[in-house]
Amino acid sequence: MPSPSLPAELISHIFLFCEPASFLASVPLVSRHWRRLALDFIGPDGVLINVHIVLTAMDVQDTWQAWHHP
Amino acid sequence: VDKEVADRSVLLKNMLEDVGESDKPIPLPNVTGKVLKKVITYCEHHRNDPLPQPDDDLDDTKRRSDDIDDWDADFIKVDNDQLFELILAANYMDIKPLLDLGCKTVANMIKGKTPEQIREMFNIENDFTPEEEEQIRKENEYVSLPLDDSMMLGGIACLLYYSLCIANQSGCQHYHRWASES
Repeated sequence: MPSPSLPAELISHIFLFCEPASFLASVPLVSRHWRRLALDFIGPDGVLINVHIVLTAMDVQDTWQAWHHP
Repeated sequence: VDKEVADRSVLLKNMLEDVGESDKPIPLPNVTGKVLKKVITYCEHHRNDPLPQPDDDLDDTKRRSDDIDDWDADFIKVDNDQLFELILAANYMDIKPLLDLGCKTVANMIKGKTPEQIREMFNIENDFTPEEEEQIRKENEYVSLPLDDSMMLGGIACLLYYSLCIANQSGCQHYHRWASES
């Protein structure tokens, strides 16, 4: 039996509680609509936002340079 | 229903404040009787809970899906149709804790599922071409995961190792002095 469809705002609200690994592995591949909603949670630098701060390789290099060449 | 129970719904609370003391029934056209009964059960159980605050959404610790207590977990053990109807009712009636409970439950259901299983769960049609799916899979490989505590420790270790490697390559005097002394 088809389930009642949820509006976009509620799907996004569900995404807030998603475990990040599952979210990244599956959610953007469900449909175009879900992908558009999921992109709100992925920053322009490819980092999952709205959850925690992530150090990328560039951050590490920048941090080292800031320490040694302020 | 007691006013204290009805006040768990911001929609009803505002309507009751507007109408004042009255015995007239309040229409809820978007909620079926069966779902409303379930909503009332939830509100009666949580009648003494503190009301949610506007800045609760900013608190990252409240975005967990593994903090559902036993009573709520048992309450929300319903089929998918009823679960989605409860989420819609909680949203319409503005009962944030019930909305969060429903959404956390769906988030837990998504955990570990393939895109195909999620489509089946939500009755969603796959509108990607196989080429698009492959492209998105590749793009996702470059997306970083947020760090939990253990990953953070690993990240710090990598940061130190990476710094030492760069220091070694660039002939950093401090590094060579430290390395020769140790």
